[in-house]
Amino acid sequence: MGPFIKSSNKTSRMMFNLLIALTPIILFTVYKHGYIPYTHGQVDVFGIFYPLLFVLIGSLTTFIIELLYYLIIKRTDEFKTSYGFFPGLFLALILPIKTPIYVLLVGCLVASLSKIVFGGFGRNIFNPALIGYIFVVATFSFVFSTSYYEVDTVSKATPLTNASMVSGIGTYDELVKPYGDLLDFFIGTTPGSLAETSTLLCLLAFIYLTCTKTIKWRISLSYISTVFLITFGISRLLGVGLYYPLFHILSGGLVFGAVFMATDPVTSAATTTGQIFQGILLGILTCILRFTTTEGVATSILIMNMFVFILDKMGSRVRFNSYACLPWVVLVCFMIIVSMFVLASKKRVVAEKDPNFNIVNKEVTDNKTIYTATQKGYGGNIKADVVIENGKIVSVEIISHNETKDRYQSVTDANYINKLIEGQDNLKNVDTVSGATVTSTSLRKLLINVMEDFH
Amino acid sequence: MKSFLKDNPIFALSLGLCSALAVTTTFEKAYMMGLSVLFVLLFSNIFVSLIRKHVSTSIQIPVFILIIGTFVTILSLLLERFMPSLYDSLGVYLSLITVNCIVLGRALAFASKNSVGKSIADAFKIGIGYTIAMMLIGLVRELFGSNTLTFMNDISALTGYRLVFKNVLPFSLSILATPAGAFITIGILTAIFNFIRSKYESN
Repeated sequence: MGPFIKSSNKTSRMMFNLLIALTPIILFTVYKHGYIPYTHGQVDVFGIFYPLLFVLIGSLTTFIIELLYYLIIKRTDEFKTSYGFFPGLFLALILPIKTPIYVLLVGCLVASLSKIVFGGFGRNIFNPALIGYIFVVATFSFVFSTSYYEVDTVSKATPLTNASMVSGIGTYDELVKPYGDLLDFFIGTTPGSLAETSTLLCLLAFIYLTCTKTIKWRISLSYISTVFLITFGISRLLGVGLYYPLFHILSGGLVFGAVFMATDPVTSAATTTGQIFQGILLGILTCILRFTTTEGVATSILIMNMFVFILDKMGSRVRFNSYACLPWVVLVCFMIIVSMFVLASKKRVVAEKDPNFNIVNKEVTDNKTIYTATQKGYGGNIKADVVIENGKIVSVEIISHNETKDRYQSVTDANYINKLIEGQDNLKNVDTVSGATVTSTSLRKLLINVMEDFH
Repeated sequence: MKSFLKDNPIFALSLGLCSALAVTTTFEKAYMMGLSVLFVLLFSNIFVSLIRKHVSTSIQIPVFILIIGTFVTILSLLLERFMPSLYDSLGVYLSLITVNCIVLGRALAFASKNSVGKSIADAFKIGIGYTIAMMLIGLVRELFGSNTLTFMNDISALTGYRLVFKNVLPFSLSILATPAGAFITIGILTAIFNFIRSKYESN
């Protein structure tokens, strides 16, 4: 269904309002990713406008692809109402600033295609920009590593990546302190993709868009309040302060996603009840995904896009019989409570001793420590000598193992032990060897446990 | 050519998609899976066709499944003996040939109604179509997804030498190596396939 059917407002007017709402956010991006690096002498004068250029390239790419498509199928009249530049614009806004241009171009191509295969504007069931985003995540995942988010002279992990590396729930000092205080989160000076960080500007845009009846405010509101409710519940269960739910609302792309992505006129619910439930379900999904991986706004919006049809069906039934939403209310309450308890118990886990790890022998001379330790692998215990000199692993020698020949071979083929020694400062981030995941993981665990014992 | 276009199990009939999605990460696994299905299909078609006059329709399916299961077991025992690493990498999808809808579908729709000769021809027609389709999917997914080309690696125990190319292309789209990439690949190939078919039929 096109937005002109779902809303009384004219589509062109809506798109114009969206652009107005996005303008301050884009200007803030120029300030944050252009002007600040310029004052630090990281980029030259033209570098100030690089964020603007980045956004322009994105929007022009999708614009040109759709223009070509409508020229090929000879329906240029439809092109006027297809607003081809929006997917690229949004995609550029949710990517890190240092994304290589070719990645942006590929992402824009996929975004446009995901719109075209469903028949163009008004018929696509998935948010095109997010499809492009997910494709970039799956294909060029290096883009989302820390160094691509660089804002200041030092590159930092995004708050959510940082939070996912903290064991346990994370104290105020661990989660918020490294980035200033919660006000910095609110204004948006924390590292993140181009536009997602400034909650303040997103809220202003939300108020403007709601007053002009451009977006479905119920979705954004119920989305954000559900995330708040669940994280607040978790913080109560684990006895931490109010900073915890606020951290979850202010970090990552939650507010930007809730205001601009989840309310996309084409791919969101049309009925009032459907919109509220879409927001609540989005909140539950985002919380679950955030606690299992790092960020889940994009994925949860795409997943909910698939259920919009069902929600609208329910919503239109509720219009005639308000009891029809009763099973949904029960279901949603159940899901909120269960997810609250499950996620809280997931964060409560304190690091325990690995039962599969055992130190056989430990020799200490002045600055050299030799461990002989075993770790359970695929076929039995792997026994290895680990030599630590001056706090660094110098050599790892495997004495005996019970792994299958192929698996052990592929671990040695990949020179995995050297990789582990090279990456010893961040062992958890060393990739495993495909085809011998268990063996390589247990080797890694062995080193992690040895280092833990050493410290 | 005509029967490949019209009766292709994956692209035209959308049958046997499970294995086409799961074991097409490398070219080698894809064509060995295709040949395995061809083997089972051939023998099940022969035997189903031989006993077709003695089986009443009410117990058709259990009897046919039994026949198919027998040949799948024979095949998996053979593979385990002669190509253990291939047997490992095909995993559960080898035993799942038993319930592969191509094999059972041809037994029910064709072999149980036709003579042995015709059934053998049908098995080759469908089986080779399936194998070619699997090879195409495997080729695209391995080449663009993981940027390698494996012609012989797991089966080198039998053939004696390995044939693996690495870093063929200057780039790789790792999404194609994931299960989601399998869907995308099959979708794109089906679209191309349907385009060719429509051209072919209009001529």
